[in-house]
Amino acid sequence: MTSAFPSRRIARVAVLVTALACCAAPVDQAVGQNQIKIGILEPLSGPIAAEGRRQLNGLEIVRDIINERGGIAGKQLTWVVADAPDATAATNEASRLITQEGVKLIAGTFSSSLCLPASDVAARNNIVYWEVSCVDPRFNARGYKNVFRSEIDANGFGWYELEFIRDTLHKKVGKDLKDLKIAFVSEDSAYGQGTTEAGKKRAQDLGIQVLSVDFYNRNAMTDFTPIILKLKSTQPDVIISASYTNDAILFWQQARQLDLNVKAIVSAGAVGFGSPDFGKSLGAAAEGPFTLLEPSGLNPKALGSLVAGLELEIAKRYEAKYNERYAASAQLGAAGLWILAEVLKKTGGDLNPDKVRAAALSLDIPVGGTINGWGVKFQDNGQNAPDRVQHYILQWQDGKQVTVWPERFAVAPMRYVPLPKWSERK
Amino acid sequence: MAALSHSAGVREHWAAGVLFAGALSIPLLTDNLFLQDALIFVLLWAGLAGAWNIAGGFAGQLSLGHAAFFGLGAYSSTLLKIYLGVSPWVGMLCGGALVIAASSFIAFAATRLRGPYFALVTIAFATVAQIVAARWYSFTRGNEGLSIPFNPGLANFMFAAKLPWTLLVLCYVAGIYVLSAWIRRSRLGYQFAGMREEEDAAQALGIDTRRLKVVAIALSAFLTALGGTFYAQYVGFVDPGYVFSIDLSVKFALMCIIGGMGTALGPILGAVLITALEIALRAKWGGERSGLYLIVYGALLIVVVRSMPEGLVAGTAQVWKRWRARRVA
Amino acid sequence: MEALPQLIVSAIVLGGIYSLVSIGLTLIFGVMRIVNFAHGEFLMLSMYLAVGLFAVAGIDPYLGLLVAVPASLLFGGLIYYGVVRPVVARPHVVQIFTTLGLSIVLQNTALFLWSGNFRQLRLPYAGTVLTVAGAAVTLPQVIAFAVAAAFTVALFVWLRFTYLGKAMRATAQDRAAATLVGIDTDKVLMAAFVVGTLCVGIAGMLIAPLFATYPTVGLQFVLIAFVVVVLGGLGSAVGALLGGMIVAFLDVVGGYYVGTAWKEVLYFLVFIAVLLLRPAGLFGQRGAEHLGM
Repeated sequence: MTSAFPSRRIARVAVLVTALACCAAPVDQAVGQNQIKIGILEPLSGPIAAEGRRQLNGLEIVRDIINERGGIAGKQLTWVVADAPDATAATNEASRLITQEGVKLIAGTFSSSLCLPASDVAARNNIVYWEVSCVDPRFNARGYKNVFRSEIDANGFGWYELEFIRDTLHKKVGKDLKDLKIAFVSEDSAYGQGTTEAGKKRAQDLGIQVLSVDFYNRNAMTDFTPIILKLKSTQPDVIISASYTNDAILFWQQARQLDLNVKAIVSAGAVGFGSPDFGKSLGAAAEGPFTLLEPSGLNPKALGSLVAGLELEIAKRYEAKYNERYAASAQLGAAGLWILAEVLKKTGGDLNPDKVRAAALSLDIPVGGTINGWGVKFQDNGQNAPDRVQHYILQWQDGKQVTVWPERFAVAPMRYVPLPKWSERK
Repeated sequence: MAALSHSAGVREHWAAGVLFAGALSIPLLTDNLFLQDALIFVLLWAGLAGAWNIAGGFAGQLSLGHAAFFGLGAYSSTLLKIYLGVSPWVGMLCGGALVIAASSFIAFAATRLRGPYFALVTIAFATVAQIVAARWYSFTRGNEGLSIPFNPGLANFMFAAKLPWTLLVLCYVAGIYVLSAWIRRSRLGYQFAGMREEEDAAQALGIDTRRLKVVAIALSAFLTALGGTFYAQYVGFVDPGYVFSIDLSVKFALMCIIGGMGTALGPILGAVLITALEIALRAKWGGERSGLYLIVYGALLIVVVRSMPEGLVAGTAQVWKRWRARRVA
Repeated sequence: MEALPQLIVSAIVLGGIYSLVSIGLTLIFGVMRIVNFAHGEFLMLSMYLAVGLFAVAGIDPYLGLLVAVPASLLFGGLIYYGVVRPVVARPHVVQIFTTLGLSIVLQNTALFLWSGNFRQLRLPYAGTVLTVAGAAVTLPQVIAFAVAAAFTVALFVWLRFTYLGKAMRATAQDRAAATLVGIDTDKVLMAAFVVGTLCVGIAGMLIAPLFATYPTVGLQFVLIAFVVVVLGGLGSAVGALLGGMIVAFLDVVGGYYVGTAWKEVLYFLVFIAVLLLRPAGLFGQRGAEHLGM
């Protein structure tokens, strides 16, 4: 069974051998005197490509603003972007960025299954790893000195959701904590599991009744009827959801179909109920759910005017350039990069791990002092202190997500508590 | 199927020897972290492709579920280490034993299934393994995966420098190569070939094809599980979504096919090319518009698999033969 | 509210959807013996067509079927001649990897062109809920089910009574014998592929109002489609309908009693059991798995 065209075969081999040669040839490593070059690792292909892309977009806007304002210690920030759709790619690309591209700092990475292996590679090669959004609780628990995370972890998400309930929501619902009934509905990836386990634990600590915890695989959910029917019979007051976007959309549509009415639904993160795609997909039906997220609009009185202006600037540019709302994973990227820039300003643009560490640990910004209304105080393990990483509850109102809690940051009052029954909605 | 002559077989061994020597020289001659890392992955995939080859290439059992064995190996050693403090070396063998049992069962029960049916049942097994690992949170930490703490030391199956990893994986690949070359020339290998080409005829000749299938698949699965443990120790992180994924299963088979399924050297060549191609494409286009490099990858796959079905080893051998013939004439 | 009626009705509707998605696969797999790993991507492309028509021209997906039918036939023909036909007589291994490569290309072309964002085709009457036997269903669900049922019947009749249909069934049973009795198996294979693509093209348009559309949405359905096809038996339209129902019942009713976390294990175990014990499935040819060639 031979092909009649040996030349085609030879061509095939030649192409592939050339590819081999290409990957072995190191790229010109010389960095301009006036530049700081870092590496960016994000999932740009594969199942979470949409959010990886949004995060990269947010990073780009902030980089441009930093550079326009004179860069870092007079040098322009540039970078090389690498795609990491899975753990092996994350490891490979991290090595490639370090060796072939010669970067001394890698930032990224959105997903837990990527940030752990990639940061391992960085740490063992004495390269700083700057994580802006993955939420795995183990990230800073490995004893590495040069691994930093500006965002809180999944435990923090779960914690904040319950904090919202404890602080405000239960009062609006009109029940004492011990009388409140909640149910968890969660997809089963690392993000869902971590957030839900943490939320469940806090709920139990607060004495709130947890009626049920339902996990599902978001790639295998074509019908939420089983879960929704169970919830209809147990009647929780509040549902806490951890979902990605296709399942959140399906769940909410079927909740309407099957007439599942709850007083409130709270979710966390830049995906699922918190994704811009949710509102776009569901229109009027999307009104009402709460999401723990980066702020969408912040009450300027709660921020320094510097930061308020910056927030507006970023949002405006983002929307103009990418034609979608500045939200979620983009905001995480933006804040993370801004804080990194603050750290590097202190080192004078030096990426030496010891200097970066010293500068990072020395930063002390109160809540409200930087992008997203966050503060900064890195703990010894490289994690930005959870009480500084202010998180907010946003609510879908009039087709947009607006900040409604904590009250001092809110741009609009909470509505729809309890959520209107489906039969009463237009 | 490609049948190399004796002299071609010797040439094959020389080529393999050159490749292995070349591989060994890289960590000795260069400091380049990326090259060393890429090399280790290439060698690992080469070994895994060679392991698949025993069942798929030699015995004709086209499995698309080998990730089940890879994942079981990775999880066995990792769980034993985390819960019982067992050395990953021992854990690796335990994983191997587990996998022999599981794969033997599959091979035995699925003996009637041919072609795409067999492929489907292997996919189903791998998917069930993935689901169980993902949902058994209390045992496996579910989809969060397991992180292996970095604790260098021989007993820990963990090294700080690249050289020991390279040596170890080189032994792995070389061992599989030697085993494959030996099987090919042995009686077992001929029986495999007979079953692969015409299973009904082989049965009619009195060959116990069911037993053969069990042997082929169990051996292949065992070697795959070893590779799984190596992966877990090297990368330091296992999660069900990756180690049990169909993408991995496909990868093992693909490397074999591209390189040449019926030979011992083929899987190694295939692994080199596919990995190099992936890395090169991702490096060039990974940062650009999403998905671009994968479009190129998929298109290449379609074209290559069609125009070089024998794989590179046989394809190159034929080119060589033609060239020599032309020279003589 | 009593759960059982709702569970049953939801399962029936979902079963209709599963069978609609799988009918094309059973034809292709049954007649051509080629495992089309790109099946999920064909579905995905059709869903994008629905979303696109609606977003750009406000065309309802049901009206849009008028566009989808010729588009699917054309697409099926192109893919057949360009990608599939050259490997029809090749070893399984080549066929499998050709369709896998196709799947990668299509998935990433969608990602490249339309980004990974999730789009939901939102019909103005998507929220209209009808009550059937004490259970709630939405209008798009009812339409999808009705079309699935009608289509299955039509396909069954076509396979049973037309020449091409009979030729397809003959080729599915034994390609060599079919050639011997004078059937142009070449044309039959092409017809099977194109008609199979048409089926999945229609399916995509009908489920677009029900599920979010994104480049990897095919993954949600392709394994299920294989389970349905094996369960129902290769090449059997009725088998696809019944197989779809069985899988949907395991999914919904099983999901209710066993919990959604483990429900996939349910139908995969059934899948494995069918493969090991009765590979021909419900309506397939006994010994079909031996005719793997």
